[in-house]
Order: sequence, then structure tokens, then C-alpha cells
Amino acid sequence: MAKNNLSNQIRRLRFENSQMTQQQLADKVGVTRQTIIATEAGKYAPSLPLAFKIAHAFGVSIEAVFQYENADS
Amino acid sequence: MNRVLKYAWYQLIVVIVATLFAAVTILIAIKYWPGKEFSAVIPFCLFVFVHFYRVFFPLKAGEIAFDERDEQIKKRAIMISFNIFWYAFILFCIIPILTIGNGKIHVMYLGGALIVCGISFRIIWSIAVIVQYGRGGKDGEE
Repeated sequence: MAKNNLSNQIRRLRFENSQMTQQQLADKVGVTRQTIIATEAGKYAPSLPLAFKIAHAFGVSIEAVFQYENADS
Repeated sequence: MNRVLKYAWYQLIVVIVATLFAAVTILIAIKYWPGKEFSAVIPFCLFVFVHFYRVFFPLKAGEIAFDERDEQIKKRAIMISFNIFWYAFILFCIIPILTIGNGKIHVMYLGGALIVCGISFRIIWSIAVIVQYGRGGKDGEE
């Protein structure tokens, strides 16, 4: 899948949250570990509900997890 | 490796093995039993194993069968394989008319064309899923 303009802080947030594993995060948000890996690597842009679930899992706002880089700006 | 990718590999292997078995069985039947009846079920019997995936690989407790990303990959694979299915089927219909001539095509040709296109559909679906997950399905895992 092509890279998108969406960057994320999932890796950093996982380590700040008691070194949460990818599997633990996947179980919390109800997806497979492969989806977390792909999202973390920026290979997959999650849906809005999943993005909110990930943010809620870390107890932060969605903007703290995902950042969109506008190519025009 | 998640379940969708596992299923794609499983289906690809089963379909290829079943196709080879069918081809060999049909060739043997044509060569050694010419003119004699044999059940059409025999050459294609191995294809039924495609549906036995859940028997061989049951869902473990707490395991997620598929999520939104898997769903997206499956949808894209279906679109790709469906498009190729139709292009292949149209070619299968046009080529014999152009080469053999209309009215001279064997009555079993249409059935054969559908079977070949159906098998191609499954093979292309599996390959499309495997390609989308990336080599080995590790998704850039370090």
C-alpha cells in the first residue's frame, strides 16, 4: 500500500504507556496486530472510528496520535 | 501472519493442487477410458477442500478473524479478480469464434470456460491478497 501523509505517534505513546506491546494495543482497540504494525509504520491510514479508539486507548486526543501533513502548505 | 493471509495461502495451494489433480485425472480418463463414462465429480473433488479452512484452522479464543484493514484488502482483491474474471471470460468467448468459427464450437466449451475462469478467480484473489499484505505479511515489522 502507498504511503500517505498521515504520521503518528503510536510507537512513542506505546512506550510511554508502560511499554504497551502492539498485541496489547490491538486487543484494546479490537484489530489484528498486523493492522497496528501497518498503522504504526504509516502504511495504513485507519478509519476515523479506529483512530478514535487508538487515541482513547492512550487516553489522549486524536491529534496527539495522528498528524496530517498537507502537501500544499 | 493473520487469518486472511493464511486463508489466501491455503486457498492458493489447494486450488493449484486441485487443478493439477483435475488436469491429470482428465488426461488419464481421456487416454485410458476413451468413450467410457466417469463421474465429473472425481476430477474436481479436491476443490471442496477450499471450504475446509475453518476445520483445519479453527478460530482460537479471543483471536480476531479480520478487521477493517483485512476487509479493505479483501474488497480490493475481489475487485481485481472479478475484473480479470470477466476479461478472461469475454476472451474465452470471442477467441474460439474468431479462430474456429461460429457454430463449430463444442457444447462443453462454455462450461469449461466458466470452470477455468472460476479457478482463475480464486487464484488471482489469493495472489492479490498476498501481494497487498506484502512479502511474508510482516508489514514492515522489524
